[in-house]
Amino acid sequence: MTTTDWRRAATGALALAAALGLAGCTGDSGAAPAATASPTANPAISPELPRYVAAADEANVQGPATVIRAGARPTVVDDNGRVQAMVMRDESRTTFTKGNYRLTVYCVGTGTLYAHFAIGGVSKIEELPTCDTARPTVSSVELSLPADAADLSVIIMPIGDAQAGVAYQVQRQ
Amino acid sequence: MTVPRRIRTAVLCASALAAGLIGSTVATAPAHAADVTPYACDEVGTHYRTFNKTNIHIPTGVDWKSGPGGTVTSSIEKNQSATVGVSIGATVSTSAVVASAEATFSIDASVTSSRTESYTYSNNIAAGKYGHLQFGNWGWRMSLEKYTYNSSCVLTEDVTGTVTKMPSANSWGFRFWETTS
Repeated sequence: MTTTDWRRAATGALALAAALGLAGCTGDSGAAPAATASPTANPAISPELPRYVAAADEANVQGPATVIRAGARPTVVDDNGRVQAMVMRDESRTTFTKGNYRLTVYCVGTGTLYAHFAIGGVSKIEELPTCDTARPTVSSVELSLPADAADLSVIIMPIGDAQAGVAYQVQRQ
Repeated sequence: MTVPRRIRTAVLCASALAAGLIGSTVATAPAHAADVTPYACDEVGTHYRTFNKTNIHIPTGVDWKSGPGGTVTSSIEKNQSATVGVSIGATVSTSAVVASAEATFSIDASVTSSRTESYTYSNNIAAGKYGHLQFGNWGWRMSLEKYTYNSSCVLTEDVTGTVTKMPSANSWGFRFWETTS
């Protein structure tokens, strides 16, 4: 990986903070995580990545409480021979009734993720447990809405050279 | 800020010309006329200034619609691509515009950003409403100024316009919204 590639990866890590600005998070865990992406000697995309994606997707089973289900995607892609870290971001422009909501993230592969979960003015940012190559790592971020609120956003960002398949769903408790 | 700098530069250039010094605005002050360097203007050439950035979703895929009520679900779409769009009364270098924005806002932008495929996504729809899902790039919209100084340090072009869309290099995803029909 060239210096430029790593600059992009590191900038991708920084993108979470920028993305949070758009998400308008003013909630109870407002501090953005420090960007920790750093160059390492791991220039290639793992040939196991498709398997990681498939396994994360399979683990993400929709249930009766599921409001949103996002299929698995890789944390890195091949950009003309360069490894490009990818920020996952989805937004729902609708009203969410007051109550408790849970973001459940399924990760298979290597590395660690940050997850940002926001509904209206309530948000949380958490560093998730390290992904595992053998089985899905399941982790949750929970929000409690004291009143109806508009607009939901989920941003999941790989830290450093994480290579994983990641899926998630949002449930209303 | 660019404008004050340009004003300052123009004033310095004009002053130098008026004084007959024909000196550089960036060189150290010469002690004697014989030491005067050839005329140089530090802003010769074409420049781009980006400002007033806002975040946008640049749709690249199908508008998946379902309802009323229920769930809207997307299928995987291949070869998604988003490219810079500019509305301005002049020719521009899109790569230079992107470079300007990256330096100004510390963003990771791209002239063209592509994904070989999207992914599945489903979102519940409120009762009585229609739900829409669309895959795309989370990029930016911003104002743009292009200005050019000739070799005499004269401003020969100054045009403002809009970067209607500038894709992110690494941020893609779905946007869901509802309509009544």
